[in-house]
Amino acid sequence: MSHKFKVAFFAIVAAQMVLLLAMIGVKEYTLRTGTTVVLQTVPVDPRSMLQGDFVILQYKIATLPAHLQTRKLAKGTVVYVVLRKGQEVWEAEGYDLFQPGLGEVFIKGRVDGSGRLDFGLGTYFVPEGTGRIIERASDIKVKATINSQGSAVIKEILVDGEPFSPGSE
Amino acid sequence: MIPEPICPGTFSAANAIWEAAQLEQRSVDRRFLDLLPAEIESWQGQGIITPQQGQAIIDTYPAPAPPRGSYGRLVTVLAILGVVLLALGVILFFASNWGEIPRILKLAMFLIGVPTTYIIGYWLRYRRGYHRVGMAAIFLATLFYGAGVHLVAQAYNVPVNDPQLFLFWFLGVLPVAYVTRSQAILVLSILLFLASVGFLLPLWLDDGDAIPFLVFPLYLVLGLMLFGLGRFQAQFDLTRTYARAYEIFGMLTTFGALYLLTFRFWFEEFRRRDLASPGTVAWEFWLVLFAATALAALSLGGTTWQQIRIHRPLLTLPYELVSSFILLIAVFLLIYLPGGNDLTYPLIFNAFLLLGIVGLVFLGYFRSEEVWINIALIFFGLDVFSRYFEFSFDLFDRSLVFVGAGSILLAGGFLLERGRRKVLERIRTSGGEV
Repeated sequence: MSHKFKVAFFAIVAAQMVLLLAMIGVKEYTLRTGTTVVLQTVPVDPRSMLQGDFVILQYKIATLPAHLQTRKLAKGTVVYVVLRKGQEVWEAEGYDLFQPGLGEVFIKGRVDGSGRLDFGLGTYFVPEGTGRIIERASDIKVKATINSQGSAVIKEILVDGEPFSPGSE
Repeated sequence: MIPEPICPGTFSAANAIWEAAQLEQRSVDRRFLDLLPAEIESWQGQGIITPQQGQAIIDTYPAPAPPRGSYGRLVTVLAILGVVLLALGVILFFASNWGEIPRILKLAMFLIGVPTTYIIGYWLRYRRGYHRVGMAAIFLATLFYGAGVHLVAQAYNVPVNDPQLFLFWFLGVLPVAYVTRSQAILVLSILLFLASVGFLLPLWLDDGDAIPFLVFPLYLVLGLMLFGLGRFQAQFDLTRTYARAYEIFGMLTTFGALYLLTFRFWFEEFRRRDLASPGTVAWEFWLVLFAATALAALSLGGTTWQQIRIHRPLLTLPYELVSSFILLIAVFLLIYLPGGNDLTYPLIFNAFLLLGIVGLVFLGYFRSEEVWINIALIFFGLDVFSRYFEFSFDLFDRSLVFVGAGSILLAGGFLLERGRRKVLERIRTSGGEV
């Protein structure tokens, strides 16, 4: 095989690795540098062919306030939710179509087909067969880390106040 | 060398065979060779020839060779099956999200495993000369890469069915197909491309009712685009090897979409709104639709131009161009023109499907390629069966419907196979390679 072929072949393999590392890097950066918040949520439990069992999480702060609901925002519209720390969980203080200023803790969501906000935190993967533990719990909270642009990554899930750890069940 | 006749002038049958063999020894029909021993046994039983003469006749012909490339194909099929099973096992293992393995270890296993599998494949294929097994290992690496993309998403709880995941997989795999010239990886890339578009659609479309009016036409156009890209790549030595997969999967996609558009029930419930008005559908959808349309037109136009430039006969190309053009117009009329209903739309698309099927048989016949005739007959069978169920289910008793369906399947299968054989036989006798 020619030198050119060898270079092309291994360049593609390297590019694939760069892409995987970039995916990991973006998420790890958010987890390590972002602000951690706790959000109230409700789960449901389906399964993905390629990724296994997961729970779908619906957030309390995903419901748009009345003044934005009446505006019938188009699907995909970006809405920023300014968060304020409450007693146990962080609550929505305000909803804005423009990015809030520095010093505010906010999360970025997009309007989905049902008119609610999708923060990219709607899926939590669990070990096979353990989704029911979350489904049966009376209180589910999500600890998420948010970066300065409002993008969030799930850090852990709290089942009835305790970190979810199915191995200890 | 052909031996002398056994007993010249004594047994006409043996002499006739000897003469035929002398004339056509190099182009003996394989089926004739398969039948010959039984025939000779029959002649011996009837006393026409003696056992010695029978043996001499058999010795006249070369022993039937195994079908060309069958062993190689078997190795390829086994290797691909092995790869798919192995990849499935690995994907399911990680999909179960085994809690015992920490996240960082799971990610490291893929970050090391994917390049290692590529290196093993490279070494086997290009260093040791194990072409098929080496390519199978590279194919496995492309599956592991896709599993890796999904594992990273799982590890960081990226929303399930995120459209970017299949897009990343496709973008990573397509260059591998072009560098290694692997048909299996190219087919995987094409399927990943079609799946990526599918995963993006929920972001672009709000309303499930819009499916027949937007999604099927989009796939119809994407199929034409793939077919056109295949035809275009067939014009150049460098890219000819990729053409076939594009053409076949392009045609399957187009005919699949066309077939789905023939169903009446899509159009019964749907209350038409102005789908083309701004804001109803995300602009990205229109961008992909128009880009695919432009690419389909450019690639087919470019193919025609290239054929004319190098003075190569156009053969079926003008017909492919015209029929693709008509289909594209039909797609845009469906999207933009109001007024169709649950009678006119299915009628129009059934007519297109039937014309397309005739066109495919025509294409297979003139290009001497069996695959187009097979695709045409598959869709013809599907269409007949679907129309039967569509129209009879409300009219007759259920038991009669199923008895009729079974009869149609049996009779249809027989007639289709007979028709297929006739067409293929005509291609063979006209000198085409099947």
